[in-house]
Amino acid sequence: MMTKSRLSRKRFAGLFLVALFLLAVFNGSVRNFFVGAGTAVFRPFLNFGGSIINWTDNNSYILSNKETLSKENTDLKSKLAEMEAKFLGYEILQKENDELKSALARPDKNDFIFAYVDSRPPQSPYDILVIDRGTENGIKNGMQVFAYDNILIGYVSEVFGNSSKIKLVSFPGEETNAILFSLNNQVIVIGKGGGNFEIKMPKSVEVNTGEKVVTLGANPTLLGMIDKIEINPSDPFQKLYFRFPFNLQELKYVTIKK
Amino acid sequence: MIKRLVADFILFFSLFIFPWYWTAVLVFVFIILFENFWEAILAGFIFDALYSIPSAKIYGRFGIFTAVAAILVLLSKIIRKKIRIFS
Repeated sequence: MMTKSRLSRKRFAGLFLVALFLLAVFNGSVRNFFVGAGTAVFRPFLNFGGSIINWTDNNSYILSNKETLSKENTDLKSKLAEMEAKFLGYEILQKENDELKSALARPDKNDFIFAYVDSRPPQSPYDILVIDRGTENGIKNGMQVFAYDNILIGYVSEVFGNSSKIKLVSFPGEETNAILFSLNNQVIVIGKGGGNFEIKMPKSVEVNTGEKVVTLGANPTLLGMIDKIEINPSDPFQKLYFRFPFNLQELKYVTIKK
Repeated sequence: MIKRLVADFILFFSLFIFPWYWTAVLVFVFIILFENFWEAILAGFIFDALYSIPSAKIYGRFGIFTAVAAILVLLSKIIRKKIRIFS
């Protein structure tokens, strides 16, 4: 039988924890304290988990011949996707290069920081990446993050000593200014989660699948290619859908633009 | 007791290795199997600490997983009080 004082002490502890939790949810600095402490304690496990995932990816071929072929097939597909993505990026770079040359060849002084991805969807429940570089490596909030050097995938959203969180541009509701490459039409790309995007634009604009979507700005980078077009007769707008031109689950490293 | 420790071990490692929805299923199963499975709330907190972002309004906000886990644990307590299982 629990005594009255023990029961009230338990209730008090419960209420204290609930109050602390509510404070963390609604107060930014308290939240940052808990998130910072939690990240410091549990990130080594995340890193360890990432190593196990990589190890199993690299050693599963030992188990059987069929799996070896399957793994090789996956690797080749991944490499092919990388090459295709790079090739698409080169086309944009070529155009950009020509434009720059015509504008007295402005020198490019971009510097990048290389980082390994500790966690990515679907380990991560949101469209968030956790990387192994932080303030100690010069990472700052808002820096652009790229996959395969030329595909914009997101922005640094939170930085710790030796890790950072990347909010992907496909994060639900995230808006990115972009252009349809060959049409030169400015659009707003809306993240739909899981590496998917949506563009809403007037039906009168003729768009084909395969159309490249690139970011708007001085250094345009590839976001993806239109996969699906949805036209509803009762809607004056058409919806264009696309996804990242690579598999998010196979993303091992990223580069961060200084 | 040993069963519970094994469950805790599996849950802890699933947080860092398996897709998040596998962990969610594990949490749900363990809440049903074990009484007062407070570890679920800790698992929710770990998810929130590792993956929440400051700019998020609801989706991605700190506290979502912790709150859901706490609600599930409290619900399981209430339901356990209301029903009686004969074996």
